[in-house]
Amino acid sequence: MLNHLQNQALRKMKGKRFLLSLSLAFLFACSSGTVDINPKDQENQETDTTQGAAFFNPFQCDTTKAPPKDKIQKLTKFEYENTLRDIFGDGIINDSQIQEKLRLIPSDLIGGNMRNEGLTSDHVERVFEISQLIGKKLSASSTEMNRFNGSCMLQTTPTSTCIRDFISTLGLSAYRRPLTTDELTNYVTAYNNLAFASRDRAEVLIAFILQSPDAMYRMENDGTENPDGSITLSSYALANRLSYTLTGSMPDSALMMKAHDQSILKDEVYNSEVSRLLASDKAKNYLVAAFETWLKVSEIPSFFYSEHFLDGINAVGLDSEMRQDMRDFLTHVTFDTQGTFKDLLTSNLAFVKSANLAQVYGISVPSDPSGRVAVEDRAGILTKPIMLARTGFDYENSMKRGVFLRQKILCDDIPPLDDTLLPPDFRDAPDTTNELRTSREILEERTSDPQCAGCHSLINPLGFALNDFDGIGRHRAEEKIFDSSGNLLNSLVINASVDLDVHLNGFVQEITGGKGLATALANTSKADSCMMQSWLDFVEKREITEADHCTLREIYSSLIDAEGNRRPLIEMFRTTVVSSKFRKKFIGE
Amino acid sequence: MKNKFSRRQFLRGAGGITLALPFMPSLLSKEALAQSSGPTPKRFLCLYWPHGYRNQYWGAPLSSAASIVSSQSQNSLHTIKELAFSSVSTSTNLNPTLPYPAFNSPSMRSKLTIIQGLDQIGIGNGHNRYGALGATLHEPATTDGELQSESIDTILARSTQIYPDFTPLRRVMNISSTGGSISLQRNSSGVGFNESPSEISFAQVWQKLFSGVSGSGDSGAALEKDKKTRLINLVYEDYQRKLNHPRLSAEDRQKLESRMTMFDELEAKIQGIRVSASCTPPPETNIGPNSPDNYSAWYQMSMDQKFRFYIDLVVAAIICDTTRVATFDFYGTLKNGEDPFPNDFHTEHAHGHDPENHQKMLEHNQWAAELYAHMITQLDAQEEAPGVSILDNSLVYWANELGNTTPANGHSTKEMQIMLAGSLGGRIRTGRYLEYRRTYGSTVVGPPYNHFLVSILQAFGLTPSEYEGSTEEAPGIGEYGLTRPAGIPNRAAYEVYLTTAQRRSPLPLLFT
Repeated sequence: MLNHLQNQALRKMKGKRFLLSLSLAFLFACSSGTVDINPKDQENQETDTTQGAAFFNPFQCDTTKAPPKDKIQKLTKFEYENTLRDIFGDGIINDSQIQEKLRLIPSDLIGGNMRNEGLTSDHVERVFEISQLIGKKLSASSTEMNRFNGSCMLQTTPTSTCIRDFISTLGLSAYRRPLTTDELTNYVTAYNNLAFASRDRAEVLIAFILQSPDAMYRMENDGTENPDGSITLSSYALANRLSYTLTGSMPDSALMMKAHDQSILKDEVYNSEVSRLLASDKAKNYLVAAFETWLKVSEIPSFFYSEHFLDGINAVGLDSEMRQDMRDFLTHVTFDTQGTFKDLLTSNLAFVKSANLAQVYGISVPSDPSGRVAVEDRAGILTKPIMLARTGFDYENSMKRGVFLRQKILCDDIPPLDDTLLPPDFRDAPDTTNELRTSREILEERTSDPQCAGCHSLINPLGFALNDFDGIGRHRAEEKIFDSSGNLLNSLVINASVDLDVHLNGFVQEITGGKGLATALANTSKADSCMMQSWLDFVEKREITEADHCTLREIYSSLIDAEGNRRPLIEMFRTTVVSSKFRKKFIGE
Repeated sequence: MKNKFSRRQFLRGAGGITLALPFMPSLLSKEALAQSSGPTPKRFLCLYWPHGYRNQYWGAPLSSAASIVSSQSQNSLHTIKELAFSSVSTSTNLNPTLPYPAFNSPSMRSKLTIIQGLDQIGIGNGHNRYGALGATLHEPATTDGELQSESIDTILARSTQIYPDFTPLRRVMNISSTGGSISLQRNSSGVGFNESPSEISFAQVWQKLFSGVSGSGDSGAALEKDKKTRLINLVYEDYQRKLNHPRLSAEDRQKLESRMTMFDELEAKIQGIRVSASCTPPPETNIGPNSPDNYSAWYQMSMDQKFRFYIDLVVAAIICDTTRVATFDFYGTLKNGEDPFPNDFHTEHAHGHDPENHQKMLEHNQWAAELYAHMITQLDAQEEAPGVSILDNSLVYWANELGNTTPANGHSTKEMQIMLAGSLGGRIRTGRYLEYRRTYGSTVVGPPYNHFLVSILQAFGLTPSEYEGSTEEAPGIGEYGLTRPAGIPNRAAYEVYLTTAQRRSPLPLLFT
């Protein structure tokens, strides 16, 4: 039925280029003719303009300036669910009511970035409900209660020893550290003041502990104060920070043990734990999600391709298959083969497990169960179908592709729209009925006005370089022009050659197609640097500022040496957690 | 045994320090609430529709029956044309966009107001996502230097004029058929604005409007309520203790305090929503566009069915009194291929150059009229006092993104179309068409749209201090960002409207 309805919707579509007008509307008045280039970039590029400023560390560390302040961090939706799962297990957390409430917690993605600001009443209410549901589930089963030394809590009058044992055990999991004496006393007092039957008292107590600030936030406040005001994290605080950074969840039992005996504070033990965690599936899944956040993979909208454009491909479920292909690729390059960022940009491996995705790639389904296959026309993440199908429509929309590449892959700003400087009709739709012109030609004409060139010189070449891939990510040599009924009017030879200025420093190189673009980016470290910023943004869950450049400089140096040789990407994660700053907390005023 | 220090006791003692004023009414005891009959409830609903209209399909059948108020009598600001709907035959549609019986009954006509001729003056021409409710600039309107303001739904939702003596289940329900929001709220830094949260999923809308509204009277309900009350008090006290931790920064404390304020709304829910006697919560739904919602059912519904479902949920919530402010952003009719019109409606019809597309524009706006009728007829069918319907005590605002697109054939934000239903308990002078225009040199202009927004807020009883901003960076309703870099296009024509006295004045002849 779903398939039928989607096809029905697809049949109703015609002239998919309407998105062109919307996108044009957004960007046309970006017309000052000047662009903001990071001054630091420009300064560095001046040293090597003839070569395009290939490799340089753009992050200047000023050690005289204060490091960024650490704030308490609300557990993200992802961290919250994982933590609950680690504490209580799938048997409790997979309960349908709990799952429904977890689903209704608002996302932490704001503007495509992971943030832990913006707490809403919905979040508070869902957490309240989930805590109560867990309290009910747990207190309904003496077996479950016993996992926390608490089956005795279900007796009519639990002993004080039983109460203290249960609170201490559950508290250790919920707080990810032992409770202090005061905290334990507070809970015991609260429990004793509850005038309910023992099961109801246990339920309220559990829900209470699960909603405490220490359970809901990453406090990481414990440790030794240093003369500069910073705090060297205690063993538990360090274990928590390490675990949430690399796995998105609480420390596992092995790490908790090393926090308990404080051996985690020794370098050799700490480094060994870092390696152990990085090899875990939990870390792989979480860190791949960091890349996916950077690439906005989860934000691809529903597909609305026309049947004539699909030409036999079934688009239902295809977006999930494309996401899995990207996920398998990121995991394979980053962890399975310990690849570099260059491999992410240039590897032609795909992971194809369905006939539909194989059609997009223009290959047969591989015999290898993993679906791994080398595809001649492809080069890394930029030519992955999930990236090329970003709009979900027939029209490939070079402008949207260009904006994405300039902003997300190269971290360049595009000046904001000011339509008061533009012609009054700039928002109106262009004539898209001419079967004699490619979409590139139409866009070039629309953006040829000098008022538009300032921004579009940043955007168009990047988008046009991917012109050898259509709107669903198939490699192509020609662009097919259909009428509104799906009749093929013409096939026009595409042009994917552009003059590209990656660094915006005047060094222009001619490149062709997605592979050419990937090669050009692999020959500089600009995209590497952007990726590093995005990673740190993911870790800190806030906007990255110059105060973070010392950390970024360390990360850059761990991934790219002075000669421009890249090291495995996994070193980025390792460097982040072994830096001296990572073990300290800098508290604001 | 009782807690020595309950949250409620704390709030009574220290609430003035730690909590913002809007939460204070909820501190009234249940007994006090029960004894307070309170003023007549007021509600605000907005149906937002994209693309504008063509003048020939919207204007009233002005004829000799229309009275023209001379410009002199209005201080040279307006030439107002007025037509009482009672003078229009019930066999004649008020205009081609309204060919439905609901708009032709004398009773309903007496509750309608059509306003014509206002201009969005802060912008040239362009899509205008936020303009219906507040900000006067085009989307994305997030650039420094551009004017934004809080939206009137946000302002109303925190006003004691709307919620005089209780915290509702939901202060404002923003629904968007495509995500995003037409409503803005002040961000945490206080100097900028973010889109207000909105919902697209029926499941989410239901949760926000009806979660906990069961009316259950079983013996376990009292125990559950008691446990929740104890729990919320315990959690609040725990956060209060944590605030004293010496290693928290001011920003950390603010985060915790922010969470604590939300416990108040949660407690209001736990204590039981003030559900009206006629409340029948609709069955819980899990339908929505994304997994694990029931998306199969979602995709089986037409866009029209979805829009009506949104409306039905909110009408039920209005009847239950779980919210009094709601907006419907039905902008999605142009972009996701599900509406009854071709997917390129925006390009081919809304701003197309072919005259045959004008008929499509008419049909598109007739669709909005049907949805609007669906909403107001349901509200009018609910009597909350003898001879007084919920609609009578409400203001239901049909807003359009754009204005009269005929001359520009595109994105005009001038001559905006507005329709109102309900009189807010007699505050609005209903049953008429009002057109405001003024000749200035070789052009004809109308009052700034902000005058209408100010009128709405004043109709609800708000004063300028509740909606005007205090700084150029954070202006409020009724201000125009006079120093913004691009200025106001054709500013001289609007200069007469920009004095403080004028921008604080409601539209003439709108109020009784």
